[in-house]
Amino acid sequence: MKTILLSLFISIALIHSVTAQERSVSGSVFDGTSGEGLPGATVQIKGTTNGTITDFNGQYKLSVTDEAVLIVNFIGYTTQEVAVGNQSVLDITLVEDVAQLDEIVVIGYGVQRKKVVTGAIESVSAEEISLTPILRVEQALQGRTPGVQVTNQSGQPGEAPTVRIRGAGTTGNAAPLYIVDGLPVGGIDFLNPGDIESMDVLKDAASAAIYGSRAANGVVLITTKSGVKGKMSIAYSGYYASQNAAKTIDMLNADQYRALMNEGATNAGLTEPFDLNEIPANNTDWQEALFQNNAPMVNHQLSVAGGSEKSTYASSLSYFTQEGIIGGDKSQFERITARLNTNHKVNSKFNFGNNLAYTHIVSRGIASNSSFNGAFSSAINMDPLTPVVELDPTNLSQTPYSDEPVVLNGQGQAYGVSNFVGAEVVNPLALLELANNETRVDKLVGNIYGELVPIDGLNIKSSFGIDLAYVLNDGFRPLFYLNGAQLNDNKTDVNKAIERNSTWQWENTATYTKKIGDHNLTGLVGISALQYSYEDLRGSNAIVPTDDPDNVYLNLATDTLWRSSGGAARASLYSNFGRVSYDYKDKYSFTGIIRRDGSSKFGANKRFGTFSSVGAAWVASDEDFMQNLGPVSFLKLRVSYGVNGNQEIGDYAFVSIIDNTRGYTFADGRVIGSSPLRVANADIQWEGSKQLSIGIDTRAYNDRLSLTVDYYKKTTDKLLEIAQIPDIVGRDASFSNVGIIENSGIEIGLNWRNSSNELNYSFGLNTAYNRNQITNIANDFIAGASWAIAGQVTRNEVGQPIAYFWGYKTAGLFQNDSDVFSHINTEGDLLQPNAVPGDVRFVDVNGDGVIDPEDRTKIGNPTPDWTFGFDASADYKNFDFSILFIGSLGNDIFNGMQRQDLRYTNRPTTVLDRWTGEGTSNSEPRFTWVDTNNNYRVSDLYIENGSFMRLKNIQFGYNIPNSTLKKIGATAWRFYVSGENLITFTGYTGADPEIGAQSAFDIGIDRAIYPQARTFRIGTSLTF
Amino acid sequence: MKINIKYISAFILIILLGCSEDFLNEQPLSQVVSSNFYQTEDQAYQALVSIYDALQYQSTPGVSWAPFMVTADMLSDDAFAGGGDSNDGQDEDEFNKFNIPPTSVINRSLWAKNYTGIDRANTYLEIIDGIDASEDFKSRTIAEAKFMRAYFYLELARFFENVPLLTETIKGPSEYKQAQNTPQETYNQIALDLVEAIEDLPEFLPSEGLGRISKWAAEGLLARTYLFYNGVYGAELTAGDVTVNRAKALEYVEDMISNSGHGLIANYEEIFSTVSEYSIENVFEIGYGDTPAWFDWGYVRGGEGNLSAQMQGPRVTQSDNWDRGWSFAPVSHKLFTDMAGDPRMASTILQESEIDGTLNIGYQHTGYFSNKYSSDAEHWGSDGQFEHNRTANFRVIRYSDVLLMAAELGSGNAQSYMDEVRARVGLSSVPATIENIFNERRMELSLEGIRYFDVLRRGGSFAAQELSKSGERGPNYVGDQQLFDINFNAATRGFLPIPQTSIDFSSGAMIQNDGY
Repeated sequence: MKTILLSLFISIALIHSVTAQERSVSGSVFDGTSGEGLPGATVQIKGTTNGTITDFNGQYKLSVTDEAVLIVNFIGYTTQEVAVGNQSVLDITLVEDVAQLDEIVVIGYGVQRKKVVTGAIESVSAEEISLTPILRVEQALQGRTPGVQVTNQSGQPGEAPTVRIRGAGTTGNAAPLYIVDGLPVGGIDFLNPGDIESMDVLKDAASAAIYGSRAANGVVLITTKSGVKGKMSIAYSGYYASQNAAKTIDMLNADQYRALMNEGATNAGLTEPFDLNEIPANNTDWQEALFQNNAPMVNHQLSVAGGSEKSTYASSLSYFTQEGIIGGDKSQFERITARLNTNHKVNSKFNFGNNLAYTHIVSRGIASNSSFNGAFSSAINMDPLTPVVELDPTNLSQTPYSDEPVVLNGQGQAYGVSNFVGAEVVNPLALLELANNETRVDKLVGNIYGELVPIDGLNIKSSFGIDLAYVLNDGFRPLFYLNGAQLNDNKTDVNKAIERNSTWQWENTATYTKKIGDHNLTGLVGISALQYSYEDLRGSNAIVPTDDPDNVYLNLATDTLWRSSGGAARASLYSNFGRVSYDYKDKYSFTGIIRRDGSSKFGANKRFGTFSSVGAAWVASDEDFMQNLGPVSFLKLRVSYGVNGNQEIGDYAFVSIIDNTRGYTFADGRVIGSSPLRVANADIQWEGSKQLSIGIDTRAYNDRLSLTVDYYKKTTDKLLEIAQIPDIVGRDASFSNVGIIENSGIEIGLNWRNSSNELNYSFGLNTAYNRNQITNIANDFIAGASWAIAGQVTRNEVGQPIAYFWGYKTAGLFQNDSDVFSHINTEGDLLQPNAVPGDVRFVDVNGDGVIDPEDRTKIGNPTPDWTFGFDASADYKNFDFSILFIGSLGNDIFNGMQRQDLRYTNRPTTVLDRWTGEGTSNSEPRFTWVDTNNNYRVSDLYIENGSFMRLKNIQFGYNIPNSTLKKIGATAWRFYVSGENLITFTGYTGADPEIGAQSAFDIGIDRAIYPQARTFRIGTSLTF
Repeated sequence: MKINIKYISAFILIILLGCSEDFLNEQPLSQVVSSNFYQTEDQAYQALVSIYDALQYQSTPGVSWAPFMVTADMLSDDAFAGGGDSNDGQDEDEFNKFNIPPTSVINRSLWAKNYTGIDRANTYLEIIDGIDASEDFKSRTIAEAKFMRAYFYLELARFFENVPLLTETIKGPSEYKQAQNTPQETYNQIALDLVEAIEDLPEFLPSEGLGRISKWAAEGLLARTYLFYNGVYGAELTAGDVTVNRAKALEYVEDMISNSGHGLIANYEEIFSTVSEYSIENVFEIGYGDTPAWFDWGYVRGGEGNLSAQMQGPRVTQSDNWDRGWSFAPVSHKLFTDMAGDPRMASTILQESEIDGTLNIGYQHTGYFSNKYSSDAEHWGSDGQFEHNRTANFRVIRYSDVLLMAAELGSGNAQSYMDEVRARVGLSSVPATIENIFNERRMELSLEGIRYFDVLRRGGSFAAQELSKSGERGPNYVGDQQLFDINFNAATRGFLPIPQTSIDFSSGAMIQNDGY
């Protein structure tokens, strides 16, 4: 796309100036590696403006004199100069220029040569995207872009990973803005990763400022593949992968479990529940029962691309499906995509085209990180005495099997119901059997555009885009009995929801490029209008005469309990923007951006916001006085400063809305009641983010070594937050602009690439350090996430990082009575009067002589200090190899997998090291069913170091040799095998240390997370 | 073509620039905005109903549930905290043991619920003038709003003593910092609202308005207010020009006894049954129901069900008569022994031996549960999540309470009023001494959220004597004795701490109550 556009511009500039000369020369321009003709290369006569571009076969024809020297030039290749002499046929071979391969970056409403870029922009190529089997394109950024932290939220197929660019800059939605082919999109799971040409991440405020009010958390620009003039190419690629659990937690077996429960009862003064002389009927390993073996992931893609002088096209069809390692098809993501991108040249001044994609998604999901309805949580906490399926006829003849709607498996056998564990801990397989929710999405995303070049250097573009999604949600609640607390013995229930999300955007831009001597100037002005609208319709009813969740419709329901609802919302954004880029000899460059946005999300008095930035760069190595830098061949300094905004709050937050769900039941029935929902705040406005960014790009040793270092400091103020208000107000709080968050950090990207003989190899290391701190907040703190078992776990407070872990500090265990009696305050009162030896000693942090909630303090930080990726690749003859490690350092995890609040839950084998007498343990408290000391309150005992390094991907490939390819008429054919998540180095004891943010304040809390799979994959790609 | 496109581009530019203000002016499509609400009589009625809704509230979203009655009974000597196990009801246990931290979520929930109601009443009193409605409608609904404001303040003042008295809505952050008023100021405002409401409230409710507030409800609430205020502070109330002293309070209840048509229903055991909802016995009751069938655990108070009945119901499965309650507020053996021989005991206390199915032994298990508000079959919701749809109405002021208040206030008919209450359950006359009247209140009204305040209004030493427990144990108690030992904190005089969040917000304007 980039290449084509640029060639197009150049060709438009050149075509008119071709004039007749004495004689003609013709020939072809070839790719030095493949030997293919290069369409679109520029052939120019040195010292003149005369020239041409090559046709689809790479051929050219020019009128020349004998003295002429041809300059042949194609993006990504080293420019060649060839003297014509007396030749009339002149073939020219171009060699790929390694250093220039990524020379063009996408900057929003245009492209720019990397050499003159003033901001901090990271690019990920199609090749890198294809290396790992990814469902969502965000995952391609993981470990490849310093300063872009991508954390998978769980191992559930389709779940959106947490993406943070240069730290969490807000207490609201901190996800970046995604722009696909110029169109902002809400989610990017509709994109087939194979359709992507490049992803460019605008990290610094100065680059992102062109997207103004939505750019505070960074911008990811995604460009899809477009056709290339020339022979039609047809390509197939596909893979099959097999996924398995990478790690299971060692839990107590039936004998250990029974002994522990007896001990817990004894310590509580209660009767022992188990006779250890009896042999237990079952010894169930719930994880073994839960995890699917070899859960499949399959991808097929067929694409066709090509074009004529007038029209180019790229089209693709793809199918992707992934079943989860938990739940199989109950946790599945299935996607079909179809895409057609075209461009048509009407004449030398006008072209038009489109990017259109249709996507169909079917997804089924289960709770992936929940203490309450998580399948993995139940598997961890369920006792080993309960069978997966109950087969004992004696038990089956008794309650609940005889008289309750227990859940049956596919063979009609009843899933076991625990006689011991209750509440939300249930047979996880029975729980999965009940997971009947399905979401189906039909999505159409695309744009049509026209470009006019009325005079040289001026490009006027108009583009109209849509992002339209129909979402269907189906749910069916059968009769079931999981245990005495989790059951539906009343009526089956069916519900359905239809949502329509639609966005249209119309953008018009004019770009003028002028070269005056060594001065290059580009100016851009544009206007943009966008409107989002939403409507939904929901219904439910009860009593459905079927058990088949796939064939349940509202019309089958026979109850009179019809419920329906439906609503709508709309939001608009109107913008004017401009950008000036200037450089002198590529040596000094400058960029200035201004954007004014008006948003319907704010009241009339605060509707408009202006965002601007400046950036400058200096290629020091181009200076005459900097020629003796030893091995350093290139040195560039960049500095930029910009102001962006964030408006990611719900619609109409500035309006006082009447809530009419406040009814009351009088003797003759319920009557509607209405009152204001919340305090009105008409003055809310944009969140503002100011960022200074300084960077150095350097290359050395003949460009084999490249190093990029960036420093940034980002301050977000006027945080849009629902700050708590006093209870005496009597209404819900509304959004207000309070608080400041600072992020500062360093990013380092280091690469080494070399070739010797037929071996090409490269190493890359990228790493980023980020420090996140709240420097101002309403009421000095905002309560964070709760862990349902013991209350608040995270907190936001001035001087601390966002959502830090908050709880009691501990100082070991009481080893004996004298420890308990010496844990006193200055008055001599016992600090923990209910404690006995083996209980946890809590610290009186504030020294007020009592241990109470005021003693809770910072016990950990879920946000890493350092994130890193390390990759290496090599190819030799027809073989290739690549490897990628990712990881993080300095983050903590709250290990909340266990339901200590319930009796009879199973425990990990680490409990075997518990305190059983003086000196036996100083960290694992005694086991008791009556926890009078409240040992299980939120404390540093749950905090573990979450640092990890993971072998994310390793891949071996083999390319079928050219000689064989020619026989079948193919141009390339590759086979590969790869493995993902093969090894994880971590001290964390849970199933997976990679835990994303469930919400802004809920980071790194492990409630028995659905772990990521270990995957083996075989694949092939074939191009004709 | 070139020129055409230039014109078109310019045209586009002008259109987009020109329409931007309208384009950006989005208003809610499927929601009502307050600036165009509050116009018609129907809308005013909806606003009034939203105050009634707050009467029903037993939880505060994001804070905790804390039904008034269950909480008041857990504080009294009639019930413990209970719950599934020691972790289930930790906050309730703190209440039960008078070990209440200012950060307690139950405490805050009680506070927040009442200020929610007060805001809605104040909103109503501010908007009603501007509404196109009949004078009859206005005077009656203003009186209802005032009654409910008084009701919320009485709950606040009896629990927290020193509370900010707001008679207008809070308009913005500049008004967030509010100091407390004296109990005298707060109680006088309660009295004023009730005296004014009595003037305009209807005497007889037509069947289609049954459940709305009558004049008699306001008279009963005023007597209750007077007795508590006079008991604790030994003073009279000033309601504007009217001094509400013992005689005036008595005048109101005698008016009700003579003119209201309220009376006792024949069978004591039917009082808490569905058949006696809105009966002559009930002077003021709060309605609960199962429509719309409620499912939402995240917004419990959006439903119409009575959470008290769910909390107090026994934690039982496979029972035909009691649905899966949570075993909160288990009844003390002290109440059981005090009521021994009283015919009302069977209707008051549910014994574990009466329960079919499998009973799970909860925390502070005593073997006794409330039989007045429970998860019994009669009050099961027909649909929805069973916990959220218990249909039992809360009888706030019963006629027998009124008779006993009149007797206590020194009515000339004190003896006959008391005899009437006793005769219903077949008991013979005892002298209408103050001691006997209080004892009769205990027998007649226990487990109805009344006992704790009856104890507090008799002074700190009486409260310490009644509310502290040590070594007391019933035959069916399960668990260590220390679970059942309770020390009343006399320094607090029985009042709860001001919620810490409110103190923090007031930046020093609010002072913590004594004893915390």
